Amino acid sequence: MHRRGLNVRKQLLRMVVPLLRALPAARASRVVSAIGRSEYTMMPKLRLRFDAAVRHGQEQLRTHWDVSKVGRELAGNQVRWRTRDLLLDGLADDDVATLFDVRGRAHLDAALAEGRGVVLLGNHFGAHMMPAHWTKRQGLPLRLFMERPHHVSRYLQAEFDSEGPLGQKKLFISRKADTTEAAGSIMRATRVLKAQMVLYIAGDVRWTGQYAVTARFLGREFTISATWAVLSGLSGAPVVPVFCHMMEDGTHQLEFLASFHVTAADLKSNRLDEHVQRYLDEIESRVARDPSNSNEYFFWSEPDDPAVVHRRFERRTAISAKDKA
Amino acid sequence: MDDATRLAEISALVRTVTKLPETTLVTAESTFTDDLGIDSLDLVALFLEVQDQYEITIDDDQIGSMRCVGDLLRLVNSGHGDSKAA
Repeated sequence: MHRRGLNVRKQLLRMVVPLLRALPAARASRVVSAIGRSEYTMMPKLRLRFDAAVRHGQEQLRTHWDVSKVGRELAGNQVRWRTRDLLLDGLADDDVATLFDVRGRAHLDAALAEGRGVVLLGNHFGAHMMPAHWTKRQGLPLRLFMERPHHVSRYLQAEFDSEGPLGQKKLFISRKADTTEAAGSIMRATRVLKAQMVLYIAGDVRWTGQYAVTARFLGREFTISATWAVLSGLSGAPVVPVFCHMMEDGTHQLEFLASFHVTAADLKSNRLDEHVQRYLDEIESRVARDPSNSNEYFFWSEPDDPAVVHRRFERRTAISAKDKA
Repeated sequence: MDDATRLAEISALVRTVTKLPETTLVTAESTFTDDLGIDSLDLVALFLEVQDQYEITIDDDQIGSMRCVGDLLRLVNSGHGDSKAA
């Protein structure tokens, strides 16, 4: 997406969101979607960009969508997606609960009962910060393992600066981390899992640093972070995939899938690629069924920054040299 | 346990956990990444193994400053957890 357009949207949302909190949350979400749909209708360049992206996605997935209908709905949902969980600030737990149609909760509970922590595997399909918000509202011990998200609710922000071995502050990661720093992040995350906490992490992050593997998504090859699989393999914690569909009525369908494990053997036998690919395939199947919840996926392009390409080449060379030795 | 014995013990651990070839020389000065070519995944596995074997906790601040095998040796020898192997 064009940066200038994004900044205008961010500014607009920053002004509008506090006002929208006066409305019931589901209705506020519908208003936000309507803003995005209006942009689609009134801005020809934006409309063309969305339609082209949707058309490309349709070709890759070999589906038959009404391109302009999907484009319009996607434009609406994309703005709603950008509000993350901001509209939930100030609501009581019971009021928040009414906004979620939760499915598969038993999968999460069963995984927690294993006593080894849970890798809660999220993604950028649908409302990506909502699973974290809901989990925290349930009183479950939650940590995020990701780059520090900005523009999230004060409710989530309140935890971000917590210190200590299990604190949130040091669990935020950076793309610039070197080998030792990356190892430190993983160590901290395994400690969180050992303490039987829920670790929320995205499984669809384009990443060129440590623990990245090559995988296909929507007809293109990307380098995707496999950190979630590494954490499960090292800690023995079960992985519970979670999806959060944005529904037309302003509510959310939160769906937990059955848990699975990544074994220590998987880490050593290059099976991380398979785990990551399987997960991306699951996301792709949801995109095919509900393209209007796909947010930015249709706009992804493979990074062609020479530094990125060089780094990837160096990493592959180092791995093959090690294997040969 | 003297330093030389413990260094041999830790070097063996490094070799086993990271599956270094026998021909690779491991000394106290060997850096994890540049000299031994250990990636962060193996580094984590090594630190976890050291924690378990010596019953110590490696603090976050210590991880960032650990560059070579000697650093690991000093950590095990230091007061950060008494080693059961000692």
